[in-house]
Amino acid sequence: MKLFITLVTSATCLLCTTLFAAPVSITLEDGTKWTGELDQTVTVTISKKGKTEEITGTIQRATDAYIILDGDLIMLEEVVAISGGDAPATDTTTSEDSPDGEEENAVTKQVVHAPEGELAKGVFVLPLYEMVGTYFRPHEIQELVDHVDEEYGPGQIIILDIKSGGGSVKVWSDIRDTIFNARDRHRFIAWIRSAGSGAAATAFLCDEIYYRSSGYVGAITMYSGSIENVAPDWQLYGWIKELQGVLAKTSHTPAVAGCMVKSKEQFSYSVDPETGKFTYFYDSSGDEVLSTTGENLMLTADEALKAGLSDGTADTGEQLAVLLDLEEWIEYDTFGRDIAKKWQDTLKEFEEEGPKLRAQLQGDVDGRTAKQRIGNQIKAGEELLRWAKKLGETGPFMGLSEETIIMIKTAIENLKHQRQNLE
Amino acid sequence: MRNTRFFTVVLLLVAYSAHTSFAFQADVWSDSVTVTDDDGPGVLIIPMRGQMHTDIHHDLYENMVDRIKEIDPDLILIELKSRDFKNEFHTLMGWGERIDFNGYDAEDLIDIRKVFKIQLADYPQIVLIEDSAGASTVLALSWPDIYMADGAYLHSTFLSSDFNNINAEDTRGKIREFRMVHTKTLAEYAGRDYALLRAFADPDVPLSGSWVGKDVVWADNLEGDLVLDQGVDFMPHLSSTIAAEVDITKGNANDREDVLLAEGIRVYHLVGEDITQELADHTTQWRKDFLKAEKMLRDGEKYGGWARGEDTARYLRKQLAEYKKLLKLLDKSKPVAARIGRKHRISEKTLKQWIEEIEDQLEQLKNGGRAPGGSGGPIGGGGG
Repeated sequence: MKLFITLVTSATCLLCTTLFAAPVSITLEDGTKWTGELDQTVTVTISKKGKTEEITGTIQRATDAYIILDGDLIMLEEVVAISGGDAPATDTTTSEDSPDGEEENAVTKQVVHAPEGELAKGVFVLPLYEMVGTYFRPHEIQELVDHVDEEYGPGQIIILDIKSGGGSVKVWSDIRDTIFNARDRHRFIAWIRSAGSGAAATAFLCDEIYYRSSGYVGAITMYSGSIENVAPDWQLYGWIKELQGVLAKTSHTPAVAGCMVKSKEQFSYSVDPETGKFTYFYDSSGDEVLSTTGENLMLTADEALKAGLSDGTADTGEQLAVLLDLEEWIEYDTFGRDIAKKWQDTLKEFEEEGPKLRAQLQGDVDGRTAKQRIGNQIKAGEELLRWAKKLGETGPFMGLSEETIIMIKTAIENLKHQRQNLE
Repeated sequence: MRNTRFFTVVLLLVAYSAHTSFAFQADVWSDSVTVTDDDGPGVLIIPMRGQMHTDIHHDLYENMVDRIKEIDPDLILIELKSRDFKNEFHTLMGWGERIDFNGYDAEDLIDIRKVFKIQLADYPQIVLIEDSAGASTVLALSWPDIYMADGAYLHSTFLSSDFNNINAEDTRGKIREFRMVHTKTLAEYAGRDYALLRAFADPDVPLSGSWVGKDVVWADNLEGDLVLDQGVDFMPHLSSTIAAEVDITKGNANDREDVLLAEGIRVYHLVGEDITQELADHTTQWRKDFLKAEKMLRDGEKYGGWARGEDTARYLRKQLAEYKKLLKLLDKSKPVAARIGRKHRISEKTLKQWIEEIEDQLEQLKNGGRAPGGSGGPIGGGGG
């Protein structure tokens, strides 16, 4: 119901504000109230570190805590006075629900540079769903980081909203490079719906891990092709070492990696009743045994929280905001959600179209004459080539490897030759 | 939540101490090194990036010698990044494009080094290793003054140890020395101990070092203070830190400014930027040419397949034209010839043979005979 109301309200706001400027009322620290409209040009007097400054601009958003003036976020606690009033233009405020309908707060579309010397007040969310390597890949992470770097500067909070059973370890390795290259300037948060295998390994790359109450993380054993074809021990232990190295760069213990990869590895922990300090064990000697020989650890939200392997549990943005020490749940923009959706739509379309086009290239086409049928085969081949270009580095995962592309090109040339001989 | 306070502190520190993240780099010592238009020593950058013997080949440098002498640099800085695997995790997993792995051509190694040691002997030279594997490690060690980037490695190789396939002890020893003698020459060029370079190419020798004052003397035994290679079945793989600690390099340096600072240069200017660019462009260019070469090969094969019935002569002529173009390209570009040979097992000699066969067939057709069609020889089956 709440979602419905949010959607209706947001849609109404969006529709209305393109026609009418929204009234806005701002109460300053001293209790003074300013009333006006969004998109009104005003002069704001701010006092910061004993210095007073006047800034003139258009109010794009106003909340109880801050206003956004020409894209700059100004905290109300710094505002001494607001004056002025020109004709309002149009509003750009909108909101969007999360991809699977979960309730989230309003999303502001303005560019908000975090004021120098202050922490970010909002977040950026990138949904990373489905298979690592196809839907879930470094490209979108890099694109979001570039966008954040360019538009907002360092010190931002990037939330990876993870729901995946894993996939390619090699692509995980690229994700690691991408995140580690950006982690020196941004705070990366894994927010877990579900994270198995390579997705769990991705969560380990983040500074902090928060679970949804139904979230789980673990089971990172590598195999190749068939589930029976497990990687050899020397490779699995190399993988454990790699995961331990990654965990060592976070606040979580590297000791948990082994039992998520090799069933003979164990993991337990004890909590000091006085200090609350965790001690982790590579065997079953701790008070709480999470994984013993013969098991492969998959942590639930509760287990992880109790074991000090989770930074908190949050099912909604508001709950996560509290855990992140934010005053409220604000998504600065929808860039991450937009690029994720765009890529998901693209791949889903190819999953439907690809097999049809392949069949058509191979001759499953209609046409009154042989020439027409060959023409349709050629069209299908050319369409597949366009898809290969569009899918880029993901193409090989979708059956469009370099070799396949060459085969398609050769098939097209042969078909053209065949058609020519019919003329 | 546990991390929140930590992050608060870190982010506040970031925010208060720097305008952007790039400000972190302002604290790097080498930022005090300034590149100018004219001031300071003239530094020529020689990029050696990519695969040994294709991206990095002696012809390239040989062709630049006169131009380098003309610009008369005060220092030549060679930036070397030539490796098989992207990083240690990829090495463990065995991920990488085999076709792009380093080969091992001792003759080319010597020829590359000779360009710098003999023809460009008057110019001081330093190597910055961004990463190296096999042939590029041996090449890098043939310079006396080297630095390594933090994450770089000196990886060794088994590629030159085909002598181990020989059972007869004496002839194995003979061929082994033939294969390894180049490491002796390269060690002499660098003023390094022979044992050090050989250990990176010969899997059967051990390597240990002993401190003599501040220097390390290397020997092919296990008697030294520090053992880097146990001998049979072991090969050295040294990180930049170890390499610096055991006096193989002059230290760690992450970029050219780091190197220049370590060499006492605070102001410099670049010279021969056109040379640097041409060398960098070579990598892109020959790879583009290689794709063209593969297309020619495929087209030749395709035309061979179409050479049937009335169209036989027409498509044979087209096939002939493709192979002639390809031969010309292989003749012009050694990297392309090497890659075509490695990937498709086709040499210039094979190609010439195919061309002759097609010409014969065309001649037969001209004289009213029938050309063989479809399979065998170059027709329809030229590719590898």
